[in-house]
This record gives sequence, C-alpha cells and structure tokens, in this order.
Amino acid sequence: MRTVNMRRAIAASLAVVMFLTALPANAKCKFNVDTVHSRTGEKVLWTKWNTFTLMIKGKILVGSGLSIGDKQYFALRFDRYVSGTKAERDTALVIPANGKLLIKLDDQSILELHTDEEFIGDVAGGQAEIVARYVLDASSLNALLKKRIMNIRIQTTGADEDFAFGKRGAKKMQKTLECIK
Amino acid sequence: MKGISVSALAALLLPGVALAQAVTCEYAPETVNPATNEKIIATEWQEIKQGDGSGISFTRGYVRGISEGSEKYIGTKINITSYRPIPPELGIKLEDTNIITKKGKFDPRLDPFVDELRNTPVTIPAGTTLRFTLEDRTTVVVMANEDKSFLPVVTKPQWDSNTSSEYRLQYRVITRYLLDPGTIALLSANLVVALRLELPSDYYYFGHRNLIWDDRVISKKTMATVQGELKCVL
Repeated sequence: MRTVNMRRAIAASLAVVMFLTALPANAKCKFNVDTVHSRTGEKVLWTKWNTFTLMIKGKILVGSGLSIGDKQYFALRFDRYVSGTKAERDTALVIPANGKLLIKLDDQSILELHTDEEFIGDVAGGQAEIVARYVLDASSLNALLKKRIMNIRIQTTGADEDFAFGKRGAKKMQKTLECIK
Repeated sequence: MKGISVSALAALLLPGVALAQAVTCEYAPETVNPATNEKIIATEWQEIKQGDGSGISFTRGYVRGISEGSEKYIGTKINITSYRPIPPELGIKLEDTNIITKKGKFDPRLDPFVDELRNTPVTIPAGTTLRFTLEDRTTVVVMANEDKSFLPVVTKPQWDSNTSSEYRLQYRVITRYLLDPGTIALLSANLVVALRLELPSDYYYFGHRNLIWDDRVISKKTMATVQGELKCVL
C-alpha cells in the first residue's frame, strides 16, 4: 500500500515538473508595463525592476528589459543624490543621445550598447533618477543571454559610472532579457 | 505631433471615448474673458492625489478641463508653502510676548517685514511645463501660455509648531496649459500614470514616471481624471 502511494506521489510530482518545464520561457515573466504604444500602436512590454540592485556610495542601479514592437532594449534605472539650484539639478544627471553603455563579459570581451535618444534625470527630494534604454540588436542580445555580465560602465554627461555585477544579478538579468526576446 | 492623420486621431480617440463614458461632467459657472468676450466653460476642480494618506509624501492637487472659444486647456491647482525666518537684524525674538499671545496680530515692529512677505509673489511664467506620463511611459509636455503671479497668505510663527520660528507663506497656484490637437488626441486616448508640475524653483509630482516607489503611485481613479475632465470640454 505504502509503495503504491509513493509511486502515485512520484508520478504527481513528475507531472507537475513536466508541466512547469513545458511552459514557454516567458510564461514566468512579470511585466511592469504591458500596454500599447500611445503613438505607434506597437506592443510595449517592460519587465519589473527586480532584476538586480547594485549600490555604491548612495548610488543605486537596477535593470530591466524592454520591448517596443520588434525592438529590444536593455533598460537601466540609476539614482543618485544631487543638490543645487533647480537649473543645476535639471542637468545633474543626463545621458546623451548615442550615450555608451560598456558591458564587460566573462570572456573579457566588451559589449558596447548605445541609447537612441537623450535621457534627462528627474529630481525629487534631492534624488535624481534617470531611466535610459540601450538598443539591443540580435547579436548583443545573444551575447548577453549566453555570457555573464561582469562589469558595466554608464556614460553620463557628468562622469562615467562603474558597477560590478555579482553572479546572482547577472543570472537574473539574463532571465529578464529572455522575457523580451 | 502636428502631422497626425485623421484616421490616427480617430484610432487614438476611440478607446478614450469608451473610458470616458463613465465620467460625469460637472461644470463651474460659466464666465467670459473680458478681453476677448469669449465664453469660458470649465469643469469643477477634481482632486488628484497620490499615496495612501498615511505617509509624509501624500500629495494633493486639482485638475480641470477648460474650453475658451476654440482653445482647450488643462487647469491645475495646488497649494505650495514656504517658510521665512524673522530676519536676525530686526533683533526680535519669538519669545517676545506680543508675537506669541496676540493671536492673529503681528508685532508692529515686524510690519515692514510682514508687508514684504505679503507682497512676495510666486510667478509661473509662460512656458512653464506640465508633464504627463502615459501608460506606455512616454511623456507629453504642455506649457502655460501666460505669466501668472500669486500672493501668499502669511501666517505668523506658531508657538507649538515645528517651524515655530518661521513665518509661513501659503500660495494657491492656479495655472492653465494650452493643448494642441495632437495632445488632446493623446490625452483623450490614454490614461495618465503620473504628472509633474514645474514651479519656479522645483517640481511638484503626482505619481512617478517609473512607478517604482510605492508611496508615489496614483490610483486608477486619479489616472482617469485628466482624460475625463478633458472629454467634458471637447
């Protein structure tokens, strides 16, 4: 009797595992934005900002994947404290059009991504926050899915900002990018 | 935006029509622009706010739709507060009894200072922006098309207040922003997930562009407010 129950339990567990593995890869994806583009009518999918969190001396960087129609982007949200007058704060955190994002991969190669427009940080309560998106073509997306991110460097109009990735963060970022493939 | 085609405009407006059907339009009494003799139709102010009311980031304001002749506007109303300390060179301390005990009256020695405060305007110049963030996280920026100045209500320092040594200046800032046809089409068809009002020295936020902070999220009802008020004056 006990053996029969155990067999049934194993069979049920296997069925659950098979069901879960049979789900498409993006079935587990969570999107913060799932809507239609207000100007072009294209589908807009923006994953949640829970991929990785990198912090250095009051600076915070998180990542996300974005797709608009058939275009894919690696999106970054970067926060840092700023002070000064409104005019100073308005220009405290700017990523220029064609701004670079350098990604060092685990094979020591450097992947270079670019923004397709200028991004200007919003300032609220002394904290500037910028959300920039970098265009991903098929080869760069493929590289990010296959290789581990080690470091990234964001080019801003002020200074370049460097962040180092942990293993876990790099893996989570890959899972997120799967969602917009 | 100017090159928007008629079919695209219709396509953008259609979902908006469906959403706006549930909106009840309430209008303020009609007025007339004395300079142009144009009739001004405006909706009643509708509250917009963010947060649950328990946090310090709770923010409240109002919006309305305005039609003046063939022009359409979005109007905003917010209260802003600033504080000014008693200038040390006056040699007057808060502990002086006639500041604390004579409620509603200022120490006569402070009259020139208080007069100055009462005549300290906040000016919203033409070109000041109001930014809407739509559901797809793209933005629409509109501008005030006229200079507007506001004078404060001045309150003397309160003994039991946290800002006890400073005078409080409260401004009710009412601004209207001109909308072009493309902007009307976008705002009629899309929910607004965040607003950013520009002030001379800062910004005033309802919601946040990226909706990442729990205390900066506006409700679904607030998201539909701009769309609803605008539909009432089209």
